[in-house]
Amino acid sequence: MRLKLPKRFHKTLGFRLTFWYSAIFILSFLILSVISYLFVFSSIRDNRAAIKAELSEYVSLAERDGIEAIQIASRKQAKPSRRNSFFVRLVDPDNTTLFLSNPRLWQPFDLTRPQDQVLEGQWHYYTSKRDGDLLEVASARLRDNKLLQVGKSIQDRDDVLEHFRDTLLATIIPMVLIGFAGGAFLAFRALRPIRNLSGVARSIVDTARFDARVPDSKSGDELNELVVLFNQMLEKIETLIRGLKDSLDNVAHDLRTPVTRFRGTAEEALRSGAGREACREALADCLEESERVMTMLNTLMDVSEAETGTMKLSLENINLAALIEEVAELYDDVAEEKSIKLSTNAPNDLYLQADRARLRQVLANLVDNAVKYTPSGGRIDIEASRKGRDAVLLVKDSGIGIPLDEIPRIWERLYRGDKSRSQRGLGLGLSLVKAVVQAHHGQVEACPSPNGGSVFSVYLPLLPAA
Amino acid sequence: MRNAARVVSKTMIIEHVWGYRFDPLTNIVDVLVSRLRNKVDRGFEKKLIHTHRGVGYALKAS
Repeated sequence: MRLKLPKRFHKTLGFRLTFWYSAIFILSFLILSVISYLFVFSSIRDNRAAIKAELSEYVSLAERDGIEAIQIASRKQAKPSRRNSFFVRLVDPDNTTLFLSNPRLWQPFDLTRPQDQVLEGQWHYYTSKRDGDLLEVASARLRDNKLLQVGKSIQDRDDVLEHFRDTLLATIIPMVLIGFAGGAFLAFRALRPIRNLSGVARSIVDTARFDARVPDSKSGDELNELVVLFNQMLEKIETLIRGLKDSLDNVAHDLRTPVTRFRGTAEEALRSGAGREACREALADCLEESERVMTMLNTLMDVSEAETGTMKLSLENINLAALIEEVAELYDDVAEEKSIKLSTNAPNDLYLQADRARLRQVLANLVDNAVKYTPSGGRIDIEASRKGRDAVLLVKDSGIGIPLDEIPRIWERLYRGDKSRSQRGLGLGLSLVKAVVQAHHGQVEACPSPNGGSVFSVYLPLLPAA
Repeated sequence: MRNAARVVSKTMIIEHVWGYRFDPLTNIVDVLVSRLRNKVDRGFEKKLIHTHRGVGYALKAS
């Protein structure tokens, strides 16, 4: 697995995140650089506009206040470096300098010009004798035939641009590295929950043990939510598998007894060379036993169908009181036989939407239990009432009751309490009750009755009154 | 009398008597039949109701 990793490395999410992060980072850096380069470039290129503006300002100043005003103003703007100060010069018609702003800066330029050249309204350049710097100059003729020249050095412009280019080029490599490192770091951090997740998933695939859990960072982000859901899913799967395994164990255990009995019966019948009658007897035993096993398997299937929600329910409107009467009638004889008084009490206006056969089975199982665990002379009451939006169905008996510590377990499949082992049964009746009631969106409850015996309550949603 | 001399299962009896299919958990039918037997066969030499273990019950004169 490890060796294959580099080959498929370019396909990993981590690589792609890193790649895209750094690509976007570098691209935006480049765009920013180009924009700022162009900006600087164009602002320096504005030289001519600045010179023209300055020139026209001086011209209007001279027209208004005279030549002295130009001298004062130009001295005011003079700065020690060529880059940000203007060249201002006043010449008479024969090119004699009458005034030069900041002579220290501009003296090195060769200011002699051939007489025939028309300077006014033209751009022209003076070259420095010292360093070859160019001075870009515009001129304007004043009223008294004097020439006013305003200019600016253009050497600095190229210097600045070159410097800027160099800086940009030098920063590109560190920027690429930073972009890549940042991308890798982000991808590493963002993918940590996913790495944990796949680590746990792989360990489950490898070991088939479902008790592993992904560490929860509690950060509350989307990946954390996924981790939490994943853990909950594992929890659920573990419970389901444990449930399946338990009931399989139970079934295996509960099948072993009848199968042993089959064998014993059959062997006995064959070995003794018994007569026809004894063989019939043995076969009948086997049939009865197999009937029991069939019932157990069917009920188990029903329970697990109801629990997993795959049970088909043919819903219809059911009058609860009528259903109670049906079941009570069914058990009338059995109760009478045991001298148990079976009475019902239900208002006639409770309607449910339920599967009739299933609900009948639910009630019958409860009554059946009650009859089984109520000694002679006891009583069983089946009652129904309305409680909020639910119908409450109570089956009360005066039987042996259920020990408090067993109450939570009585709904489990194939669970048989200590006291109930002596009775014939599968240990599935109550599991079926609970599963079917929950499939009908209801609740079940068992509690000891204050005057001995137990009370089983079933809550089922009522049909809204039409 | 429709099923005279035939063996009928407990489920069949329930279905017939109460009008619906039902999975008997306890001895509802056994009790019913024994009460019936008390009424029909008590005091007679010839029994009419016969138990076929593992299968069901039969009504026949034998």
